[in-house]
Amino acid sequence: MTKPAAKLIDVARLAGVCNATVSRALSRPASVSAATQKRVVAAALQLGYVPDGAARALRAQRTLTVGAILPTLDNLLYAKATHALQKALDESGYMLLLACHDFDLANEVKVTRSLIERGVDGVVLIGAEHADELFALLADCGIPYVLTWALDTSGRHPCVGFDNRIAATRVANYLVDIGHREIAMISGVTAGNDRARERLAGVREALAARGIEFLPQRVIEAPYTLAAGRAAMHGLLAAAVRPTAVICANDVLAMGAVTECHAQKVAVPEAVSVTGFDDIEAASILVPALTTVRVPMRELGYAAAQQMLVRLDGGPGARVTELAVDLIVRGTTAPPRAIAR
Amino acid sequence: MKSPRKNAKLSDVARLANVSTATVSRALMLPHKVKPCTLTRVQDAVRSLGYVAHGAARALASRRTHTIGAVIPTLDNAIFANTTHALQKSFDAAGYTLLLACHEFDAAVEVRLTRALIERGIDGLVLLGTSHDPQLYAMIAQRHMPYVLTWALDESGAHPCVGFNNRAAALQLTNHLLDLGHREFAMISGVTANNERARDRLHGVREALAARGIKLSAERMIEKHYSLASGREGLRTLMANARPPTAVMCGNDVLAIGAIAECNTLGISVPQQVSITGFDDMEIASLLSPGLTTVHFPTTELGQLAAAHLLSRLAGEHVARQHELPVELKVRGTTAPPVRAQLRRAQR
Repeated sequence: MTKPAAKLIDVARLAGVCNATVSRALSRPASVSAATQKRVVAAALQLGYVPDGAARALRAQRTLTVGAILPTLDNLLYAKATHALQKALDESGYMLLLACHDFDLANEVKVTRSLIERGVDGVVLIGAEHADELFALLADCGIPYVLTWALDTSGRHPCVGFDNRIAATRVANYLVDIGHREIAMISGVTAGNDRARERLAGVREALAARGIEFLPQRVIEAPYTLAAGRAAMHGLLAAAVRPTAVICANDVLAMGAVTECHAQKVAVPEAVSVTGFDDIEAASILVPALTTVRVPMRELGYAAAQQMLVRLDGGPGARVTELAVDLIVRGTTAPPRAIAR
Repeated sequence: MKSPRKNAKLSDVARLANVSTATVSRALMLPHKVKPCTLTRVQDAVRSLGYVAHGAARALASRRTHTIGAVIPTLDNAIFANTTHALQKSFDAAGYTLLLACHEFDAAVEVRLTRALIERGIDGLVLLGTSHDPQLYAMIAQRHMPYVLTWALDESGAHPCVGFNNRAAALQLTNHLLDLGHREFAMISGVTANNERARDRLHGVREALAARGIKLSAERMIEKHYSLASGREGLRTLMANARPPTAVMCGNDVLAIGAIAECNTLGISVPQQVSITGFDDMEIASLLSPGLTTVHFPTTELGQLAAAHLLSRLAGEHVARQHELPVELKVRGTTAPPVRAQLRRAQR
């Protein structure tokens, strides 16, 4: 026969103390006399009392705070997912603190340390690539973490993300399918950024599989800004043989690239097709609207929060949540002119 | 009433609230776990004593943590992201880490987040705007926390701030439209509650219109949260009026871009049938075609100056309490004379 679970009040009654004293004895033993502490612990053991969330939190000195460390605050890339993360954590009584490392993995260790020192119960990171030192720090401090926006292939880290490589493969295959052979890429900066690297690798792989040459001068690495997208497109349009399609590693770069085409009166998509990645809200509002890969950002933030909450409750460690991404074909892509004619 | 004390302890709060110290801890950490009446009593005591939790955090806070806290409304607006990014870079260059929290336009959440940041140990605090809960100001004062308000200017002169004159910006923009010949105005304003930036922009518009004897009627004034979707909805509602406006002023660029997208959907040509304006001059505003007429707010400079202000204060240097940054009208392609005025001119 199962007994109803013992409550705080039962422990208090058996130990002959008030509820508050039980809490105090369990959460901060030093705050009660040794004799009281002993009586309370004995009663708790006898009754098989398991402290409820509140008492457990007090005892474990939980801060009810989760930290998220973003590569940049400079654009809307992470805003939607972070917003969803915050909402989901908030519903469970957790607060979100943010810090930013500016695409610098050494700096990421520094800001994570600072967050941990300030007091966080868990940490959400972006991407699968991080300094060994960071993982060591998290392990030493016993801080649960979740990687997001990418999948960890080592199987050692819990993550919520999607396969950036396969998504990029789909973009490249789509462009080849509609007839493009002269393809260029405005890639993100790949150093210290596994998402950018995977997107580039996916394009490279797909083109190789279709027997299409991907010339080194047709790959330009650019930081994720409108200005960098413009400058990169400027370079590509100045080449003796212009590409007929330009794959951009994210929507911000793509919007910059399209702007440069407008400025040079190069018609998009007639003269050049342009694709993005992420599907930020503005992508659908541009004229023509941007062909891109939709990353389910809200879902990503929400799933990351759920996984973090499970881990904060002592749930299982490494788990992989893979999200589906879709190619969204809109107005910035069309068959190349020679084919369309 | 008791005068605020600097170093109130948990036990002081417990005594004043007439509860145990464990209850105080619980009320602060897990408010939903205590009875509402107890919670109120504890919160009142916390407020009147200016108590900030955690002995360890308090000890930490008494020395330099090389951490700055910033509490902003949301990350979901590129314009705040700009300023915050500049803040972060400036603090990073000076050896400080920036911790950020978002209150999503909820004044109570803002108090909670700010309290948490202070409890965690920060050397200084950056807040956005000048409208804040009095509790928040009291907490900062009791902790002697160096802080700076950004984006707006505090007319009372009570608070250090680096910001813009939002009202003057709205006056400039409205006068531009008036000079083009517009008389039929509408506004899709941001939500004005707890947001003096939105309020000042609206006041500026009303003031400029009043100076020319024009009133912004109730059915021509819509308050919306800052999002593309809200801009779309607002525009749709305004243009469904029997007498649609010839100029729609939007509380920021995001609303304006949404409004233009809706015009495209509805087949309303901008600026021929309706002129649209924004505020802020986000990077994308100049990339749209036609480019958005808006007011440029130097948001990167704002972040840099706010950081410099706080760093100087932390170094014990004297800094001007108020720093106003100039804004600039950017006339691009989304504003033109109204059709009626064009007709009248043609008839002359």
